[in-house]
Amino acid sequence: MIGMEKKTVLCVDDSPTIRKLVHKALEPEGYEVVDAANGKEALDISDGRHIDFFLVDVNMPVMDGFQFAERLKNRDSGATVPVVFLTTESGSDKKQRGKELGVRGWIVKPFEATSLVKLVSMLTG
Amino acid sequence: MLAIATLVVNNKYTMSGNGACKNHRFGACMRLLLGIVVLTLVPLFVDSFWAPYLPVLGSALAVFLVFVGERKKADAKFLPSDETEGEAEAAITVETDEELLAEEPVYEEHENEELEGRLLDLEEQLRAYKAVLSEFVTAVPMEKRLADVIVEMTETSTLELTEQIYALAEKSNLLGKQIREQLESLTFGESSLMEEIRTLRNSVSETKLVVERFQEIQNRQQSDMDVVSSAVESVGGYIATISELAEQTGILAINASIEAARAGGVGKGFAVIAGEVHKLADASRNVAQSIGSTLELADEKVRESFGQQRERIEGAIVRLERGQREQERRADILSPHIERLRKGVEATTSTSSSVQEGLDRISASLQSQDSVRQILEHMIEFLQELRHDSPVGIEDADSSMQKALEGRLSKRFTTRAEWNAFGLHLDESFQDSEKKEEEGDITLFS
Repeated sequence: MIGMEKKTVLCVDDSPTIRKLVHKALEPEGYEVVDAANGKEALDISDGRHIDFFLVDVNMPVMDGFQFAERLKNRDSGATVPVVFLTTESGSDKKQRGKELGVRGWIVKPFEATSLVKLVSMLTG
Repeated sequence: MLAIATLVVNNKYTMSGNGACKNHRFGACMRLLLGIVVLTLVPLFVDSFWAPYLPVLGSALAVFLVFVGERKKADAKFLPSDETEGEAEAAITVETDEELLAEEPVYEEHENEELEGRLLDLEEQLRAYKAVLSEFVTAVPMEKRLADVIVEMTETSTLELTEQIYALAEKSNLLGKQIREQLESLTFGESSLMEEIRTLRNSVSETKLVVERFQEIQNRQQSDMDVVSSAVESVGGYIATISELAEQTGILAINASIEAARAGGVGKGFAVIAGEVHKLADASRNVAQSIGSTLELADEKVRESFGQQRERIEGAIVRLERGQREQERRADILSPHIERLRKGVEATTSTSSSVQEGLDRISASLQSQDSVRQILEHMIEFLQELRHDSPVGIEDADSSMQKALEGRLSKRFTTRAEWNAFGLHLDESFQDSEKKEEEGDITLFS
């Protein structure tokens, strides 16, 4: 990341702890991390600024991860930005649903910082 | 006719009410058959001897049949057999509520009393269930309030813990990096200790070469000295020969002078030559003596100079050898330190990766804590959903019940957060203990 423009990751999770842990994992690696507590907030934020990567929880109040992915998919600008789900869910039916909505990856909590960094780097590189 | 009508009604009722039961069906069929027989026989008795008694007999028969039918029905209701239960259920599904209501059974007095008693029991039980359900419904918001406390406290402590752990890890990594850099600068690079030792060992090797060169010079000097000594000795031999020749020439000149004197006037010229030869001999001897003494002096000087140079070279060699040994000793002392430094760098690198691994594990634990919080939230959501679905509304619980429940719950409180969640004041004894705890007092029990 040295000498390159900072990539922006939007972390969408209703848990402040998870959001903080994502910050701690990605910021030392040179990523800028922005927070949203649900899908709706995430859509509002991504309307106003460029996002390089969406890290999204599935179960959230107001708007869940699937609804968010669906809305994002229907937006021209959001279609190409990678979306990865970070969730406690691990059912194959839900994964299939995510895949159909264009989700690029699925991380089951608890996540490891090193794995997350590798995945973000791979999908934003 | 009254008896016949009652009989027919009773038969119909018995069939519809208990027709599903095989035994009852058999009884009903028998009673129906009996009804038909009675209806067939009535015309035969109209004008006979029994005609006046027909209403009485008919009424008695009807009462009997109604009693028998109801008795069996009651037995089937309160003591259902396994065999009949399924069919009874099947029958219930066939009949409508309106039919059941329309066919209100007739009970005997003692049966009514029994049913009333059971109804009262059931009513009492229902009242108790309702009371418990009301308490449950009233308690759910209280549980929610406590759950909110747990969620808030867990979230706050988890966030604080995350911040602290990562701050510690960052400091540890920074410190490790600085130590590693220092150790690496000592271990590797142009100005490192390892390089110093390498230079030192090279210097030792060079010193060895210098010592060898000095020793060669020393040896060559010795051989040169020998050559000079030999030359001086040879020249000395020549000088001795010259001196001897000069001596003999002088004797010859003296003898020639003597012979010239004997010859008189004729020998005057020869006497002059003899005198000159004598002078030459003297001069030769003097020159030879001068050369000899000069050579001796030169030899002495050369020897003295060679001796001094030898001493200096020997001194230099001794000092060089001493320096060389010192350098070797220092290099030998430093080498294990360098090795330890190298291992220190490896250990620091390993420690840094251990810190990272530990951080990953802590991160996973923190996420598990967050999962616990989510599970609690789900439980409370579910409880609230149950409360919402409950037939007993919150309006059924009066404020006195709420206060009573709060009182029961607050007896279990041990933390300030629990009291605060209910806007209650801390128990005095609890306040005292907490105050002491905050002040850090130590109480010793004798």
